[in-house]
Amino acid sequence: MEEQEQFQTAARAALAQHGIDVDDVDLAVIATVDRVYGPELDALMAADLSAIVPERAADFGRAPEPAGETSNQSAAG
Amino acid sequence: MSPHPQDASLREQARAIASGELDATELLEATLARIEERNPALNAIVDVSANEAAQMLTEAPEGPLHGVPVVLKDMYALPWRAPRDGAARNLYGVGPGESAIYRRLRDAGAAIVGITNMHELGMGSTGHQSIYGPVGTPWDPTHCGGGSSGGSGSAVGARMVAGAVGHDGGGSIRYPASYCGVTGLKSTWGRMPEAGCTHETATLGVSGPICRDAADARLLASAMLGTPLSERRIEGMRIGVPRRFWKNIDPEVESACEQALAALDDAGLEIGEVEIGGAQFARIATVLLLALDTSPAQKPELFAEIQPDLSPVGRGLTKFPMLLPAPALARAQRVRHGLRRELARAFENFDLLAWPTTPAAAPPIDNPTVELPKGTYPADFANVAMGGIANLTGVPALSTPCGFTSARLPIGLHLVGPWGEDERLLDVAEAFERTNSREFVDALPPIAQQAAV
Repeated sequence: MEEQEQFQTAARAALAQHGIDVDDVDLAVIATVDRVYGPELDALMAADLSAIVPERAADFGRAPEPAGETSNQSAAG
Repeated sequence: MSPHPQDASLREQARAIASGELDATELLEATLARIEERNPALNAIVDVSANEAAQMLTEAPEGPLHGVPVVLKDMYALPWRAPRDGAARNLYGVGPGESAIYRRLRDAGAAIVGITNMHELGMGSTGHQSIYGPVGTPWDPTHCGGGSSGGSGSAVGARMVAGAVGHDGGGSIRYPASYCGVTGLKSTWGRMPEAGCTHETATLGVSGPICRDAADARLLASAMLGTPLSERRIEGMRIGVPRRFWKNIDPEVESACEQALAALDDAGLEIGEVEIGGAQFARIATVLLLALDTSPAQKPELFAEIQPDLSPVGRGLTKFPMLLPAPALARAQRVRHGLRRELARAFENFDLLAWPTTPAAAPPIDNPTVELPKGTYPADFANVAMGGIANLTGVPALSTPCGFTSARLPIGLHLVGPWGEDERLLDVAEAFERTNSREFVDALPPIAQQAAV
């Protein structure tokens, strides 16, 4: 319960900075989304992505330019 | 020609009009009658533009779609209508006008006969949430038509029209195609003209056709591109099968897709397994970047204005992105770049990749969750893991009908090709249709088995 209240307080404060009001239904939806996607978000934050070199000026309509040590394999699970 | 012209394919309609066998005005009238007959059960078309379509016919130039009625998702500016994105109004301030897709269709001679339903603000894969009400699949109107281009999939599946335009930012053309038993092509990013589309600045989204089969999708895509998509031979092509996308799949979906691969193997394609490193992050990266992708173009005043008219879920979902930490978004971008290189590597050895379009068939509208071997999941959560990687990387992807569940709900096979090789997906989809004598693309849903008007 305490954790839920902390979540709601944090969400209200963060959205208030954008000038956006939230009600209990909004917070319930946001909490559900966080519950569903939270574990994968945590995994993403914990993953070692250092081997991936970001593309410079990526054109998503074309294949990426060849790069050296840019494989995503280190993130493969 | 078929007894009712909307039982004919898009290309048959175009051919019959060009030859004088079919009158375009009669086709339009028959289409309007068909929509009136079948749409109430499905809610696929939310705005019929009979007068505007008739006007387009009177001015229609000779072109590949001369005189043929089509429908568009609620995302494109039309001279007589502003797009609404499945909400009270769109968040981008896009008003009435000539979107690029409208121009291409007009210049091809098509008549826009209606606007199709879509998931509220494009934020879902089911189509059960929209200001217009939910959209159903013609195979069982109590089940989801898909999202976010659900109305386009449902209208084509029910034989109201033979061609529809959709838009795909995280699988939104392919999921409805799978749920409705039709063919949907997400083009290579940047290939379609997106001006006047509500999501025209998106780096994940792209327009594409939804039609009954691959040949019709080729025709409509060619009109949208303004250039013909050629046909090529597919013998000897290699299909890579990334098994990560085959995990936790409904057994009936898995079986149908495995049989589809076996049929393509028999047709002369080579099948082999491939690893896509980092694919376990495709879902969360898609969800995070979808939240970021279109928000810079949103008008803050419109965001506040539409809140009272959004669904409770929609209100929460529009606010959730503002809580996302920047480091997570940066990591999602890094995953995106890694996946692009992983796909480029995979395409050095394979001509295309294949896996199920959705892990389960269309869920009920009143409970849009799916039962998978490892548990029950929101359909959105399950679906985006399958389709998002094509949006993240920009490659073309297509869903082709490949079977049915025991409840007679359609199943789709997902084909993913290299950048710029949209044609290849259509070629292979057509080859697959031949392997099963068009059993799945010609199958009629119950609503289309009723007496035609």
